Amino acid sequence: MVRIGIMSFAHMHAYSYAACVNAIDDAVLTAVWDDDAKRGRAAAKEFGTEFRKSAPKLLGPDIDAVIVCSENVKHRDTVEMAAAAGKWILCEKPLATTVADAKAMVTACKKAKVGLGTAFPCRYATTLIDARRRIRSGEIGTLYAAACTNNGQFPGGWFADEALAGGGATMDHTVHVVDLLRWITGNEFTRVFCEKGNLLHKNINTDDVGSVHLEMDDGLKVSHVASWNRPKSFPTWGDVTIEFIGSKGVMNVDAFNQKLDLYRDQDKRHEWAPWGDDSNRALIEDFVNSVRDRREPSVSGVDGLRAVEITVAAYASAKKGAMVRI
Amino acid sequence: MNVAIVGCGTLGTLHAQTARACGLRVLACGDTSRPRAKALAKTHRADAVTEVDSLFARDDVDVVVIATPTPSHAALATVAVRAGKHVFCEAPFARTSAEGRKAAAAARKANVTLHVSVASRYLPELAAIEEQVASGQFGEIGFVKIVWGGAFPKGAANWYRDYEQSGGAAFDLLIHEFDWIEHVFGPIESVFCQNLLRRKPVPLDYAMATVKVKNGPIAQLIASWAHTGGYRVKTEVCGDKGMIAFDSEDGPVAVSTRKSASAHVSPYLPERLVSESPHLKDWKCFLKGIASGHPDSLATNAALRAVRIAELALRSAKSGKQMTVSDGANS
Repeated sequence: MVRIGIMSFAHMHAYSYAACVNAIDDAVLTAVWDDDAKRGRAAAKEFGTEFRKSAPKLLGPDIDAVIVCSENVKHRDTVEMAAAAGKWILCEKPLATTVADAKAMVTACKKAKVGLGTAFPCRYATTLIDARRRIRSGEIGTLYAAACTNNGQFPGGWFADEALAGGGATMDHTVHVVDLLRWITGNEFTRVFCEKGNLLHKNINTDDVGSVHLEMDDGLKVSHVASWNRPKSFPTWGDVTIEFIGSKGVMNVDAFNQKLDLYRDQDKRHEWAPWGDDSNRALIEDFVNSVRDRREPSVSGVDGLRAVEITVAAYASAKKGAMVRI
Repeated sequence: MNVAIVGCGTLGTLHAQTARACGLRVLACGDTSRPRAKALAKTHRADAVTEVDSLFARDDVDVVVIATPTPSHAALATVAVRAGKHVFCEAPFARTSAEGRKAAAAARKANVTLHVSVASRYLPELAAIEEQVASGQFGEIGFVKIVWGGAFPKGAANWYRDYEQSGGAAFDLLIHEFDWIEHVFGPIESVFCQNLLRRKPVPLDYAMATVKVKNGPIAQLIASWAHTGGYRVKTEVCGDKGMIAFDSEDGPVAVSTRKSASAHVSPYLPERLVSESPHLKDWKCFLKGIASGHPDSLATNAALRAVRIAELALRSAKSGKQMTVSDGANS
């Protein structure tokens, strides 16, 4: 039985991960901790587990591994503590908000000989696994270009506070897609350009729109929209899409477009209800297996670091108004 | 009024038809290819010529339509307006903004109407989006995305494949998106662009650009000559109070035949099931200009700006740099 602790419920994905841990037979959610005790106690109650008052208390001998879902800028401290206590770690994305922090986290885990994973559930999505297989089997030939989006509704709260999130929509919504492209192509990014702005949500001090252009080392040209542009009335949270242009054809991927359209008179809402495989579940299963087998999670801390390098370079580019080398 | 068509390919044919629908008479059809000139002339019982310059000298010609490959647009327009003809010119207005400026100045001096096609503004969905934006219901617009295009276009002697001539998708297609963005949201202040300009193994281009509107939205614009099917338009306009979305794949009538897909896919404006086509509206705008009796410098300036921005997009794609777009049409 793999005994798991969750460190912070600041990121809402913690709730999905807790439910997944509870649903997996050979894993147990032993305890949770949160620097917001009220939020932590409520979560402990919701998932039928114990709340612990401090991080060191959570990192006791009865815990094998932790899932870190604190605010972005707190990831490093939390991960370093867990590594020092010898725990396997799955960290929410983005791994960190600076390259220095991300590198320190990777080094700390290596030194402590513990596994570090980055929570990129898209890599476990059945739809994207199929897309990767098709690309790799040469169905659309050599890749020339990819136009991507990761649009979302406005998450509010600390996500829009640069002091805690390290950035805005571009920080939040660039990492998934760049990680997917690294994974699908096996290549690395070389240069990035970003135009960003706070254009949709009043009273926040960070970007809610990022239009990003990138190049990979095999010459692939990539555009990407990282945004919080979906209104409250939008039928779903957002999207992850990629249009691939290849020598033999075009492939369009809309990763979460497995859904029902719901039209409800009761609250006059139109909503989408997903019916596809649960990629969070596959992510947590891989993490549990990595803890049991004492191996690195399939999507590593280094993968998280690469995505941070690209995102940080995108912000540098936006400041400079020019393409920046990664 | 009598019309002379210069360039009797797909678009020349279309404009001849539209001119006739507006009550004009097609008098002469000029093309360097005699068979093409003759074919169109036959339809309209018009004269066929291969020396197009002879058309400008004719007193009985009032209107000249220019539907040749892009690089000759501005020079032909210049000669035609100097001969006192009103001119309907296909977009792009010119391959370089210097040539475009020359043609625009000549039209002003001759006091004739020089109209550059803005049919894309009259695509019913784009016109409807423009109306929704103007209603204010969606608040301030902060982000726009346009995806537009289809298969690689086929032109006389495959001239689209010569990227020096056509400019590729970043020039020939994005120019319409730049025009629409400026028309609806205001002046573009910067442009960044990536493109492919591939010749082998098959001709293929795909352009991805980001533009910033002064005190307005960021727009990400994609134009494709890389797809296999028909012409697709996909648009998103996001404001602080909501969002407008359109996808042409979601349409009223869909047909697929068991025969293999037709090899020829129109590179031009997509068809829409409306009684008045974007081209007809475009022509009505042109004729109104002629009736008003003075050159429409606003429209010509808009066409010049679109050429300028498309030129800068190509420069950005080559250099990897973001380009600043200065104010006005003449800079």
